[in-house]
Amino acid sequence: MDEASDQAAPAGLEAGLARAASARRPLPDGLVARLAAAAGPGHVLTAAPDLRAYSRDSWTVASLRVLHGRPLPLPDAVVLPGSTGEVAAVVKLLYDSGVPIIPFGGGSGVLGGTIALTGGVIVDTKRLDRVLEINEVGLHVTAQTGILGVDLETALGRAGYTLGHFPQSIDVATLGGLIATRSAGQFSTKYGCIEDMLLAVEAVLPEGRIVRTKLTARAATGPDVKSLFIGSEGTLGILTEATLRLHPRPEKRLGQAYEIGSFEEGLEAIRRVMRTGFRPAVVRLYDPFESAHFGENVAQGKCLLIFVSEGPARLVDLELEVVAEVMAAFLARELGPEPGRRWLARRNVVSGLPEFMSQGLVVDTLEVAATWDGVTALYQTITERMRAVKGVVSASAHSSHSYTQGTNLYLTFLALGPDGETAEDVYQRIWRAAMEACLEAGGTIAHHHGIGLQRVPWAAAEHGTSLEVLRRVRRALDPKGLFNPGKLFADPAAPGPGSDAGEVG
Amino acid sequence: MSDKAGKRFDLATQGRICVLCPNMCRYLCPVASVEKIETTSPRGKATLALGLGRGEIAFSEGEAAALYHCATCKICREWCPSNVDLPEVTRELRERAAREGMAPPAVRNLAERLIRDRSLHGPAAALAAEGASRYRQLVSPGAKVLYFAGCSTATLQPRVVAATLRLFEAAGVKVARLQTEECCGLPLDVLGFREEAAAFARGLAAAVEAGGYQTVVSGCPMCTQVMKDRYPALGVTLRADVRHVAEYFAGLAEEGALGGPAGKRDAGPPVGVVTYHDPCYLGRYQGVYDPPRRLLTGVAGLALVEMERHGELAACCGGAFTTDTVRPGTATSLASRRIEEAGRTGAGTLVTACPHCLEMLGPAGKGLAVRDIAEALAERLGVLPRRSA
Repeated sequence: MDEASDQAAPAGLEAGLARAASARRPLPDGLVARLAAAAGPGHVLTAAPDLRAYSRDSWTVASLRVLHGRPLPLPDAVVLPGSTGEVAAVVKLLYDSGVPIIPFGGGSGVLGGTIALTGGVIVDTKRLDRVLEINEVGLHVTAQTGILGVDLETALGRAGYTLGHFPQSIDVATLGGLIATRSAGQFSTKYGCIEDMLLAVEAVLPEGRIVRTKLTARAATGPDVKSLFIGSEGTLGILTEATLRLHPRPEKRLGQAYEIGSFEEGLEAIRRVMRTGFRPAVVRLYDPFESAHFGENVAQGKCLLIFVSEGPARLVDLELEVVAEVMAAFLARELGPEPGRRWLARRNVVSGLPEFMSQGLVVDTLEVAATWDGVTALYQTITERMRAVKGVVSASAHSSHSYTQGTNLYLTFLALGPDGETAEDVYQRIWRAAMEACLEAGGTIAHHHGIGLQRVPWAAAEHGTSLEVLRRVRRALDPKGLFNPGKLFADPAAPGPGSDAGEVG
Repeated sequence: MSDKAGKRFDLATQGRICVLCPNMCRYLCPVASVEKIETTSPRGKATLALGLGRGEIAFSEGEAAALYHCATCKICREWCPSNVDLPEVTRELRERAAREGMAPPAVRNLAERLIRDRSLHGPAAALAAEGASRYRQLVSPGAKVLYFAGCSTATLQPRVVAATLRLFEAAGVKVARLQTEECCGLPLDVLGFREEAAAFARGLAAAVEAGGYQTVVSGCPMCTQVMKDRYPALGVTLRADVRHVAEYFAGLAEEGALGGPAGKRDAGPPVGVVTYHDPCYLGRYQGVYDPPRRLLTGVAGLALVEMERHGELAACCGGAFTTDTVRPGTATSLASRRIEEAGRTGAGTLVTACPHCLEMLGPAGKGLAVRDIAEALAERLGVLPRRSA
């Protein structure tokens, strides 16, 4: 076992929270009244239950803290503007007053990205919930960013279209959150991830200025401003509108599953499918541990591989035929369409996590990625290191988003954590083991959950020399360091409360 | 009671599970979908309940208010793979709020009025006198079936009372009414006034026993739900078979007592296509989904087109005593949304089976006719004169 992985880490969380707390300043006199004037009375919350409700997202550490009655930093207020103009007015007020601003969508992030580390004001965008235009000729939709993913998809479905973006959080997350965390959906192999879908944005910059990027099919007009906001995690401003590509609702959807000899063979099979040029919407390969728990009668030690194809009927049939040809070379056993159907029906059920955790276990998932030439080594290294952490009951993986050049690994771990302190300790040990193993194996530390607060300690190693570019951009747009301080990547040169809070993770 | 199959956890564990879940049902929660804030999202309420229950948060009026920002519609439980029943998880805290005088002022006012008047919309005794003269020809003292209209129907929807009594008559069922119909106890029970609710329940149970009634039929699903499911929890035994109007007449229709399809009788001209709004307290609470549909299609001979959200996942109209008491604006927004959804079906009439849904949806109707199922059925069977939309 790697000695470093056995050390309680990042125990800096407690110290970091204390440091961040010391950076707290009370809100200036009269600010709440001015916020209420900007967003409307009733849309500024300062009562204790409200502040507690906004002190967390879906980060496991936050959940554990609520469960065990341990403290989390509270925001000083929450404001819910109802229009882009109101967002701009609120942001200007806060920025001019030197108050930290934490953008908030559905609160479904799993890395602590919305924790009000240094206090400040949470700006909840969920009142920005309108679909503004479904353009059937241009095949794009414009919506406000506080709309839930599911509500957008339902509206599109009524009109005969789909975004093709189905992250597990679709029922909880807002459109703005899906963009700001650089999300990927379960059908990403066909439709792409959020960065492949976004055509234009409207955003409010840290000083309160509204910017819009031009809607176009493609442009060669210099660096792409809208892309700055993809994955910006609330550090560069607040997204207020977005325009995204549409697809006609698919004519046919069909699954085809296989049992394959090993995880490594499964990865190789997916790689070959990706080389054919066909793009099944869903490609999911489960390692032997997860395959055994899937309830599909996969033989012990073997792996379940599910493809779901959708689109024009002729394309679906041909695509699955091509998949079958590839799979035949691996002597994979055909399991038919049922496993895919069952997965589709239960794909967003996550009840195991809260149920296990309510019984004193620690459960979480994390996702990494690698190119095809490194993914097998990454799988072996990361699962071995995670399993070696004391208290771990299981660490397993599946691949669920594939590309021509590589794939992701989605890891699930279960560990013993009977009380709050032990639970957080084992949690951080596992994360540290996983992140260090990932970096050593040449993987990318985050495929689609983002950085948030939890991954901050490894962000510098991930970005290497390119980190400075990101920090300069952040500094240029947010010179006071007030936007979501302490998240994504720390900026030691920023003078505001974000300057050192980034080291807390 | 709707008995959703699957896992069972005790209420404390259910609360913890809800706190630990990523709020996956939030999109279905009617209150969260309107109010937009985390505090009144399902997870927000569970988090607050955990903190209040453990004493981490001081119990005061402000803190307790969010516990009432719940439509008690149970759609979250219907969705929840862990079967978390949030209205039940928070019930004890609402009871504590009521006991300690921490319930929101609007809730306390409603409770005080209800306890004083013995009825939701004015003194029960005055209602009794009016009802006795109006429906004299349609009731049979000494009958073994009791029609319990419920105070909202009796006060606000006399046409529904007449329709229901005409349906009993058409089916050849002799029916009695109580001399004075008092509240069933549900509003107080839901709002946390447990003892006061139990007192009303005891009164009704005694009246039913004194009359020797074998069956109690009501068109109000809140009345039938509290009698069926909550009276035992309140320590009250009601010795009668309790049926909602839709259940009861669907049963009679199966025996052929109502004739139908309506076309065979003097049903009058078709009223066009209808859609049906499942009341939360009839569907998710009592599992009654098919009987009203069978009545509308099989007996009334109407064409039924479903809304996007129907049956187990039907959206709430906002008409529970929690939401519309503490946040009337939230409730009316929910009603408007439901009407929009009904409008998308192309139906000319929205039928429901609950006086509270009727009161919420009727004013929001915007050209869509909103009818109680008894009225729609009685009109189609030709036993009640039609009224224009």
